[in-house]
Amino acid sequence: MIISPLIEAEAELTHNAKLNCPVVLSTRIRLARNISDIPFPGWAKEAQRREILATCMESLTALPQMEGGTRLMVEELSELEKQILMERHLISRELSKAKKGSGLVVSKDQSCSVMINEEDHLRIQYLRSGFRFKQAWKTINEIDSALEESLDYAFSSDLGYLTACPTNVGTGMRASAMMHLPALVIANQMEKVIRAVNQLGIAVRGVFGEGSDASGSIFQISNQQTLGESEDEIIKRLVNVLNSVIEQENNSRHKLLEKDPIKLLDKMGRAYGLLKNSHLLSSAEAMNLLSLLRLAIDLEAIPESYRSHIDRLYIESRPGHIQYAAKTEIDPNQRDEYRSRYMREQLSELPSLNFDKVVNKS
Amino acid sequence: MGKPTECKYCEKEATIHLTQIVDNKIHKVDICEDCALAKKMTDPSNFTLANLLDNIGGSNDEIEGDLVQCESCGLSTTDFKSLGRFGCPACYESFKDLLEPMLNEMQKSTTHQGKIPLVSAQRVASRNQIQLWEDNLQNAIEAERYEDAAQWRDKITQLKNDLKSKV
Repeated sequence: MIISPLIEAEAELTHNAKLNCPVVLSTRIRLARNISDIPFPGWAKEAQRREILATCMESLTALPQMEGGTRLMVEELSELEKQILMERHLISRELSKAKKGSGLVVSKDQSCSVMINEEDHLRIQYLRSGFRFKQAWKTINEIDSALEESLDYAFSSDLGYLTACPTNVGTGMRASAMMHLPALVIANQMEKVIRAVNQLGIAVRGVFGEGSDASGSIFQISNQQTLGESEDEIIKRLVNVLNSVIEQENNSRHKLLEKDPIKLLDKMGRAYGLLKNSHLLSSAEAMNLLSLLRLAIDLEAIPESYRSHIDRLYIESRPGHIQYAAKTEIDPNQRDEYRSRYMREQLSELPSLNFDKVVNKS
Repeated sequence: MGKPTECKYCEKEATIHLTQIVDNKIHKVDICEDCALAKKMTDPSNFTLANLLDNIGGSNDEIEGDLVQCESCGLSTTDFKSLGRFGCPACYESFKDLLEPMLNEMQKSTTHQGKIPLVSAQRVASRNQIQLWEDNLQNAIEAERYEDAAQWRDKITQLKNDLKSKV
């Protein structure tokens, strides 16, 4: 497979545990940019798209931040490869369905991925594990400025960066965080939180696109508006909301431990048992069980050293990754079997849950 | 839950129910999975746009009268309403009237407050400047105003050298 090196490599989301923390899984900033005087990808002719692709590829691969990176042509990728790239948050569903003339450039550590000819000519994305907006904005800003040296961006002094869709015009920036909110889900508080957060111009969606019924209690929280505020103001506003959501999640956890600790301990215990012993695991079930293990780590029932392991398993348990690991083509039932076997192996060293600290917390 | 709701755009059953609150206004859409993908409503931000596009234009008669086409890329108002996307950067100028109410509804304001691509902007400005001066040079030559022509030529050479030395 063309993308085998990407999967085998140590990537930001799977191997950079240094700043992993409770509740906030990862930070993401995405910038939409277009070249001036040429139609947007959806309206451009194939010849124009190829011209844009070639120009952008040249500028991107010249960047020091992209040294040792990977260049990919979407039309050369199989469905499985595209699925895997989506699971690693490197491409969107839209790019996987793109017409000819679309491409992708990914940095060596897979923290920066740039889609070419998706909805806009360029979709620059920067990812970091943990809660790191300041650093993420600084880095993506540098990448954007470096690109601007060799590319003429479509820009108007009134409206800012011009994008294919007016919902992205202005800063072209979508800043978001992936949040792990198991207590709010258990306490049925998510709808309230989502409504409150919507009032502040912030959007909430399930991480793999399944609406508010997110697998693994993971939600993506992002800014909705892109025009009328500076990038710093947008990020500041988003960070305030995220801090408030983190507080609400933590409060929810305390309440659950106060009111009915045994129920929560039981959930975590069962998750532990299933992950270590089951023989059939669907990807949805795996996500929910891993979510409870991550909660157990947050509550110090499992050593902190296992956090990066769990976060990596979130990605490795997805269908595309399982299919890849299995080497031969397998059907969904066989995938469920393989997934359970993989979990048993990966978690064989996991020590028993120790609830001493948890019980004392409440 | 009551009887199943119909998709807003086709007759199939709506499996996705979107509610969005922006500035105390509630927008609701019931849609089936296929139309959601076709209308690109799987992303909450695009939902606002699609909903707004439906509300703009009013009756068919109004649409006929207000039909605009971008001079640069040929995108028409009808194209925009069905795709939810512009065709090229020049569309923002061509569809100015259509755009203003949309931006008022969707965005914080209609003026950009963020980053400016200084290097790129300067490059474009210099290019435009050189083009203008070259037109002046040409006019001066044709009018046999050779002293003026020499001045324009010198200005152009100076600016081109400045740009070269910056690289």
